[in-house]
Amino acid sequence: MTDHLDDLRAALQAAPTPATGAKARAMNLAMENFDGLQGSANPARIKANRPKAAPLSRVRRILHYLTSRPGLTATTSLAALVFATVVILPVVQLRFDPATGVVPTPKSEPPGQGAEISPIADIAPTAQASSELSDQTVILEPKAEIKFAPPNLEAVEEIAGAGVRPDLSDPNERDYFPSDGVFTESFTNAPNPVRIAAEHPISTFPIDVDTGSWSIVRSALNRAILPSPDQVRIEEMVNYFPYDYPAPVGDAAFATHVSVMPTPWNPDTRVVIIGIQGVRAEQKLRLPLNLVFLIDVPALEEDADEPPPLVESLSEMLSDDLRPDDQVLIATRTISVRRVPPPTSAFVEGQKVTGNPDPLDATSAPTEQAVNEAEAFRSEGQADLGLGDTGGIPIPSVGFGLDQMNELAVQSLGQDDNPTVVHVNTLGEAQKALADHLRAAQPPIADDLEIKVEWNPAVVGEYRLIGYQTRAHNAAEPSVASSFGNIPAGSQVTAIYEVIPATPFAPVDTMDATAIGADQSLGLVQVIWITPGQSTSSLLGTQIMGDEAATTDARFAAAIAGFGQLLQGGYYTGNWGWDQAIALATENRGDDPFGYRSEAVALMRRAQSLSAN
Amino acid sequence: MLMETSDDMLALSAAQGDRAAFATLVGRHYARIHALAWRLTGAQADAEDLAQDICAALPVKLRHWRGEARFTTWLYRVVVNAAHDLRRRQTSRHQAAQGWGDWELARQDEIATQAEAQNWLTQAMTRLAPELRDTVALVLGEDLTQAEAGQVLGVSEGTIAWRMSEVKKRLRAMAREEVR
Repeated sequence: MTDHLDDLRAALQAAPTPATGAKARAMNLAMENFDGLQGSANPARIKANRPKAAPLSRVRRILHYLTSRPGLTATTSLAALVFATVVILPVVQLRFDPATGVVPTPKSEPPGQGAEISPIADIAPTAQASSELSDQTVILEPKAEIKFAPPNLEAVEEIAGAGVRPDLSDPNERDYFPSDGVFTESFTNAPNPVRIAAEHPISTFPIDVDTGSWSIVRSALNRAILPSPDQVRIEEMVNYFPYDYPAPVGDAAFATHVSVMPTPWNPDTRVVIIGIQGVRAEQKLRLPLNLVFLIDVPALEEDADEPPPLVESLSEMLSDDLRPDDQVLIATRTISVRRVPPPTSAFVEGQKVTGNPDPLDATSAPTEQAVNEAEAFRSEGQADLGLGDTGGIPIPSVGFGLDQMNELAVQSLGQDDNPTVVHVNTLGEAQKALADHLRAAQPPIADDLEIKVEWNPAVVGEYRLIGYQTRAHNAAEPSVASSFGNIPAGSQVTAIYEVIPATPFAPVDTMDATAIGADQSLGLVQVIWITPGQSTSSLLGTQIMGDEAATTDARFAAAIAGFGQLLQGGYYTGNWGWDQAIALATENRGDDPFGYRSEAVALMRRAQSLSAN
Repeated sequence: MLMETSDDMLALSAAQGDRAAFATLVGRHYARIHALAWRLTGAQADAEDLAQDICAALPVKLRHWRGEARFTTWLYRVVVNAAHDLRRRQTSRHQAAQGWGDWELARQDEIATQAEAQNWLTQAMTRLAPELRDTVALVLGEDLTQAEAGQVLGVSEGTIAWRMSEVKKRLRAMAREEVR
């Protein structure tokens, strides 16, 4: 094992020496460019151009650079090259068959091509979306100043600074080497940029949102600490709460529910709350479960004779929902767990697996494959950091305890392949997490799923998606499906957009205002999925008319979104504060059978008193 | 004298237009850039092209260097980004993997034992996913800590640890295949 790594290390370190002259050539070129840069450009040039360019649309601005011949030919005009690299690349890939392998480099593209490419660039406007995030913020600032609540520039810098990679947020760096998604994990938590509907009409969001951030926020607040802005992921907070969306009707696997209401924190804009509900399946219809719990507890806390209390609770919680044909394996790194939780199970004990001493059913003995899997996971000693090749099996990560130290690791796990991350620090939370997962072990209702929102530029001037920064969704290629593998029955997601009208809405004081005019919709929500076993996709389109009354659920979701934004520093929330957020949440608690929403209100109060200090 | 100045100081001076500082900086790091480029691409020709492109772009990129990260970390990131860019331009992942094959062919008249070792490297690297290759190039090739590699790649330390364990697993699987 390690000797293979050592071999690889040795082989890699024996890098060949560069060919003679290669270094000299590179050095010459570097010095040439260096001198050119000193000679011509005034240092602030690239940046200084930005505010001026703001009124132009991005594409037009690029054309402006491309068509000015001196701008291309002069090697010193590096600003133009920077933009050319970004824009031409995606277009070229669209126009040339990748199979031929002929992909001209940006520099060889004649300047005249600029005029031709513009329509393509319009249709697929955001091929560089992820690299554009920080850039957009800069460009759109003037508009944001006018229409959104007055931005607090210091605050946004602070938020952006909380990211892990400070100098990659440099717009020029990102422009020059557009990210291909490798960096999506570490996106800063600065609010999503405002997008202009005419330029980026399409926005997407995923259905598999985990809820880890809510638990982190709660855990922090319960310890009288304000969570740091980068621990606050608004979509995870919003989606922590179950919403009572009506089930799909007829044969459709999904239903879309749209609510529109005046934005609580900004009278000039509206929030559009989009809820997607997958068809729910009967519990008895689900497939037999093969649950493998990998429990990672510090060795010191392990008692050789007693299972950790955690394991006991776990087994009690599970027993209600399990059936005799389910099997449960519990694997730990070192301990031998002696007690066997009901109703049917086996433990991986050290290296060897013992069967259930009291099986309810002869068939409940763990299959060899299941044991092998559990054993493989266990022997990797990886339960603390993650799992290896899971063969496509989704592995929800559950972090237990008050401590959030593994938040980063767990989050990165969640972002890699595994859709679900939860943190558990109370028994009630464990119940929710585990029972929910059991319920999630449902027959899949869709293989791939894509949720697209297409805004109508005639009505919507600008919009922003609240939350979803870490997922940094590849809105880039609207044609690329946001596929997430099996979507289990009963899946649900809520996304919240804040939209600015193209022409100001009439002042709205009542919730059911219909001032927009019935003839034009705000946009269209499209849910596209592939039913398992079929090759064609289904489409469900729902128009956002703008007069959909906001339900209690939607308003509560908006309150939580406001809560999250306040925790992040309130860049867009203006004068709207804790009192208003708490009032909105309190009014819209609804039935709240499990007390989740009341707990949220309590946490908001706590956050208010903490942030007052 | 300049040789003793720290990278960060040099970079700062170079960003402000100091020609000598820039020359020293590039001279000092060319080998590093080239070596990482080779580890990332697996092809001598690609590595040289990449290193040259990076050097050519450095004057502009340095302007945006704010000294938040160590210079070498920043430089690694520039190289990794440039390599990603190159990979994207190569038409498919298949072709990206080909680099290692070309390189292997070119090395065939090398001494037998050495060739054998390199062949193993070629195979091993080709069969790793790109992000694993990046990680391996940084952690094993450049001897970065997992935290440093995470900084360069813009992922968390935990992700790097996970990727390394993944690499270990792949290598083990390859070794098992060889035995068969």
